[in-house]
Amino acid sequence: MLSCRELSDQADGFLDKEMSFAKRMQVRLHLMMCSGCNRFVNQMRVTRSLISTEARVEAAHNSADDANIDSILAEFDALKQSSGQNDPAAQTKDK
Amino acid sequence: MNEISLMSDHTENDAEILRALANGERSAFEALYRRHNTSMVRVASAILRNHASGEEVAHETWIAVLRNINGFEGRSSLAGWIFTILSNRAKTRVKRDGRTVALDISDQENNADEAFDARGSWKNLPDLWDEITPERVIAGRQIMEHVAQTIEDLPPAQRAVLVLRGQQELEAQEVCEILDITEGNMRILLHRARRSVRNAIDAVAG
Repeated sequence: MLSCRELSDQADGFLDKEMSFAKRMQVRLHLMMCSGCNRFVNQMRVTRSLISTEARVEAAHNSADDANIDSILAEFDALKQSSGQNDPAAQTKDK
Repeated sequence: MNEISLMSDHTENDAEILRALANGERSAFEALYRRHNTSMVRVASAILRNHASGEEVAHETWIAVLRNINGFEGRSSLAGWIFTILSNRAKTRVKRDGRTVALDISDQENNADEAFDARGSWKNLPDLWDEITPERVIAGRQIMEHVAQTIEDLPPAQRAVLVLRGQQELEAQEVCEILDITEGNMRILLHRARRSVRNAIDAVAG
């Protein structure tokens, strides 16, 4: 049977559904009997949600953005007018 | 638009944003910038080990994205394409400075073992965290600021993986290619990063 320490190491794989059926059953069996690991897995679920939310909050509250956006668009317009060509140094095809 | 929805459903919005960018719509660029810029600075800073240089590379990347947007063929996600340009530029700058490009994946393990006794059982039961929900946290901001600071303080390799996989939600393979790491190492770094954030939240939630 998995120890709590082993389960805590596998919590991400469990939440990502990236483990074999047999391993998943081992985790589920442990969780049926262990309130500590149930709490831990729930904490990791909340943590992942907060990490994802943090990016959105950060994006919405960055007060320096307007000036940066103006600066980038002005630089782009100037480059477009001076060359009218793509930037050969940045030719990065998506794969 | 609800400001929190800026990053929602972004994969579905790629085509729409590309069309609007091609038409020169400022609002499309603004949405794309707000969705990715903070993450771009974090990833570039992790590669460069310097925040100011990370901001410069993010700025250069936006110019490159605008100049080459017509070359984007949709074979990867738009975010994957943008972060590939970003990492290439950051790595070029690292090489130019005569430094090693590879991210240090031997970042310290957090002290997870201290939570367990000799048999591997919890010494103390983890807290319930009943009071923590995303809605309450956003309203209060305090825990979210703590999460943000913890992410900023993570070792560079952990921070880069957490941002690309846990926040930008890129595919695992894209993250590995952008950072030149194996999938196994990516999973270890991601787990350590999430665990560090969990520990930081637990310290203020208890």
